[in-house]
Amino acid sequence: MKKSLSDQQIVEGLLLKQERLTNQIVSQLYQDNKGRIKQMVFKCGGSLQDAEDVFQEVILIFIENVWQKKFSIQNAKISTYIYGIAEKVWLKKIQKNSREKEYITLYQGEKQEDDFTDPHKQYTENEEQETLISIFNLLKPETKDVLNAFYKYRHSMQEIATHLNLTSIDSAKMRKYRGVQEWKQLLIDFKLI
Amino acid sequence: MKRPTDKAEEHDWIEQYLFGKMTKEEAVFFENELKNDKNLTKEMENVQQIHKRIQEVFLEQNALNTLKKLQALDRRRITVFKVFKYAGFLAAACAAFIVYLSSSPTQFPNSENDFTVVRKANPTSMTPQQHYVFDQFFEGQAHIAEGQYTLAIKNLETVVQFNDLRPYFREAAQWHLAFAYLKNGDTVRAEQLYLQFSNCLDCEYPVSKIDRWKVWWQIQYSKLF
Repeated sequence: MKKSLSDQQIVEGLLLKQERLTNQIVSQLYQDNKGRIKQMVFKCGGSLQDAEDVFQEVILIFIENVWQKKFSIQNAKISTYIYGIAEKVWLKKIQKNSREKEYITLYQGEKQEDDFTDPHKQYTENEEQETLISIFNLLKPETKDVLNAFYKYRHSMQEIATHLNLTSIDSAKMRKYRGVQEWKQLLIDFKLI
Repeated sequence: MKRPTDKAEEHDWIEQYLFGKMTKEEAVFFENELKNDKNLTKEMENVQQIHKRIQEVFLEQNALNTLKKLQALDRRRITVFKVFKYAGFLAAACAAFIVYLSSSPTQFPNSENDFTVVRKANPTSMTPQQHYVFDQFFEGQAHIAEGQYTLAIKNLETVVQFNDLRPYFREAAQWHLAFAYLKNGDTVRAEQLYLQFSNCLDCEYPVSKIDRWKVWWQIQYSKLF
């Protein structure tokens, strides 16, 4: 059995941005927090699928907040912080659906009695947070293909040209450059650079 | 050595430096250009930021995949748990039903003291033989109720051997006889009689389905053990 990481180790581990360590941390965060988040979603009439969607978004937001130094273990426990994000994400989700207005009333009524919300309000009260993946998914499919091929799978421009049925390496280079510019523009739009 | 003038080529040039793909001379040349050109420094910082963000996207994609696998695993566990739960309930229900079939008493419909057990019998003037069959039939039933199956078999065998019985009473006598055989340990004869009624469409003696199952199950159980 793997040793459980402390809050400090989780934050430090995420900042190292190593694939294996990040996956280990994600597994631990899932095991430690899935019960409470599921319970919260179920309490307001959500399904298992809703709980899973909320959890996925929450974990991504948490990771990004650690990377962007928006989260500090001096101010809140990770489990408390994650629960706070989950509340926000779930509320946002049910607000999207006008038919579920009664759930919002019910949820807000319960929220006032909940001890977990107050200590970390300042960290999660900010505006809707788009995750990097959702921003990346705004790119055109062919742009994502070329960026994945070059930056993720480290293919050569020759391989990319062949894979994308392009006539020459220069066309592939141009496709990649345009893709990078598109990505850069999105990052600027979302104030990420 | 020349610095690229085209924006796309300049981007490639910066990336080659960042990825360590330049020769020593090319790297020295690039670093000199960096020192002398603030715009190039800024552009390189931009490219670094873009790389950083895209690497973060890939890390997030991996994290998300890990999470989805864990969630799928949990879903499978929940499904397996549910299947076991329902299978458990089903097995318990089956066991309870088998216990019920094995232990609850078989009840055949009551036959009233009807003098017309035998065909064409006139209740006011029955022959001694007709009287005898009538008595044997009800005695057989009484012996079964008392648990005296050997005596019951004797009575009921006498009844079914009589040719001129009404079909209703013949079937009643046969059902009781099958039951008496079963209780007396003569499974083969019990089954032979039971099989006569298993697919019967025009039977008159109304034995309920559940009582038929009880007899069938008890025959099978006796055959096994």
